[in-house]
Amino acid sequence: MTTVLQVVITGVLLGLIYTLIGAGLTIVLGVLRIVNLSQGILVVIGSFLAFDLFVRWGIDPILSVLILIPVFFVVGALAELLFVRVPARDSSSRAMLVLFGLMMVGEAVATLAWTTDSRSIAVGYANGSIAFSGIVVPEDYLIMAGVAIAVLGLTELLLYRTMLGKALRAVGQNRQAAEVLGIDSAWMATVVFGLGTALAGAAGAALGVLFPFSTQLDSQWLAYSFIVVLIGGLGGVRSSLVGGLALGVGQAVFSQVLPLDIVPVVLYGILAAALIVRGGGIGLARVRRI
Amino acid sequence: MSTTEVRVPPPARAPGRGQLAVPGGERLWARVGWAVFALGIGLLAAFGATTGQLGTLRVATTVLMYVVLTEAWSVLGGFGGYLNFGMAMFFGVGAYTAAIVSNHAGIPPLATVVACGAVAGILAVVVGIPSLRLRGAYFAIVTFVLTLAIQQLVSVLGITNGALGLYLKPVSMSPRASLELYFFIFLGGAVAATLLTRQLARSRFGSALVAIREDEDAAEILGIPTTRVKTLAFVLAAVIAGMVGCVYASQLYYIEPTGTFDFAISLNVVVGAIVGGVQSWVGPLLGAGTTQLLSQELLTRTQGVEGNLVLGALLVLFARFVPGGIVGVVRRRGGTKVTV
Repeated sequence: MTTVLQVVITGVLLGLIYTLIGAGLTIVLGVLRIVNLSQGILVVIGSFLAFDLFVRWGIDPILSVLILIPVFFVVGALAELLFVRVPARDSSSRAMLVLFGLMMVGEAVATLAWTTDSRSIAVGYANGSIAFSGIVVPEDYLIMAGVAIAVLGLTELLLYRTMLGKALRAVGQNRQAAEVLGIDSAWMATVVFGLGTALAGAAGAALGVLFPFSTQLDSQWLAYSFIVVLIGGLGGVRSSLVGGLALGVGQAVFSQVLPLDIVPVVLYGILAAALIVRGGGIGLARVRRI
Repeated sequence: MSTTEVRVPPPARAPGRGQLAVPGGERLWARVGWAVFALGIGLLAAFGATTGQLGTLRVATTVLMYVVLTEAWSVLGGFGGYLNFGMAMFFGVGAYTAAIVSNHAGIPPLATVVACGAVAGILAVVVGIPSLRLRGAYFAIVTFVLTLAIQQLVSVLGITNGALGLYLKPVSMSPRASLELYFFIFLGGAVAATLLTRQLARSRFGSALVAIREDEDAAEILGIPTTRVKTLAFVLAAVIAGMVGCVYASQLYYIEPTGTFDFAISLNVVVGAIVGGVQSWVGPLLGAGTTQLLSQELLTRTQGVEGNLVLGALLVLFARFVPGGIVGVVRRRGGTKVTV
């Protein structure tokens, strides 16, 4: 029983961080109908920047999240202005091609900057754990899940309690109608892209503390964010939470009962099967909010 | 498709895609094009038969291989506008089919080329029918994720020998002769794939794909069986990628999951198509040729990271600023407005 509880708790904590990656993807997809293929490499770059900040200046990753969010927001907004906006007017697949290219460039630049070596951020709480009644919870998981909750909570507040959030959701629901009502949808596109990028950066810092990372990890994070969106559907933070928690708990359970090298096969296999059989996680989810 | 009621004018008379809509000039341009095409094949064949530089021959073989893959990709990706990020998957499946079948049946890997195409094609049918029923980004994600899934699967299965990979029986020839063999196989393949794409561009099938790209609802209303047309185009790309994978495995005679299902293969194909221009059969030929020459050149000078950087930057720049690719630029300069 304690093992089960242990696995579930670890899974939930991990799932909260996966939610961050998925939320970035789902917000951009929901508002702009564009799949941000560079999401994975952004997460990796977030991890590396958190690593550099920690090693060079001793800045704790928790603080790095606060630094990375505005930096990534600006980067994402600029990328939208310079590269995504014009092709997106034409078709979403042209925008995806551009983002695909940005992913390649990002991967190459990251490899040139940080080589292909694997790193990990050795924070003081990396090996600590908190035990109560037989259940051991790793301290770093707990702290980073807390960070994730804070970031996700603020995003939720932004989307549902501010005029800006209302405008963003309006653009997601019906762009033309939103424009008629006086919303500057082009500006909203910039904001939402910055927001999605910022969430990826925050997720990168959090994941960098929990797992060793290297520049090749980008396709894994991209695939994980697909899983979150496909399970949870479109619709901002709350639906990503469903997908993120399902992925986190699923991964924790599979890691417990299956040989380790089979786990990714099972995860991707379930995703592939869901994609093919259910035929439209994204398609069906589109009916929902945002 | 035989049930469609729509009558499309015979392709020969209509100024189709890939042609200039200028009366008179059309025939001249076509002749010049054919002359250049034939001259190119002739020069390449002469080069392959006489060159002493095996390194150059190897580069040329790789470039030609990407021409085949890119032409195959461009039918769905270019005419149909559906992004297939899974060429590496079908390539890898073909390579592994070649290894497994040839090792078990004791036949040369090259003799399994039909089986390789068939297995890749069946996989494409299974994947394509459900995922192409939906529109837009969904299909691109499916092909991306499946590539990862199958790569992971191949790395743990027993029949594929996991991450260690498989050995194939090499052809018993001198290194030079075998290199020439593969060069001419891929040269023939490139010619065939280019002509096939050109034919398809002028067929009702090609027009149906363009109609889907331009307005899928309208295409559906006009009676085009959109799912079937898209799936056929997808299967065509898969079959060709599977066959290419077979030849590749035979040439390399050792395959392992990371290199064979390398996502870079899918990337190279997409970049080649976009840089060349996906709206006509000439584009993939030019695009794959130039980008692969560039990338192979960079690969010999650097460690490959710079190559990816350049290819990625080219993709961003072309998709952002030059949507018609090289072909689009040339056509515009020729005074014809690019509409397709």
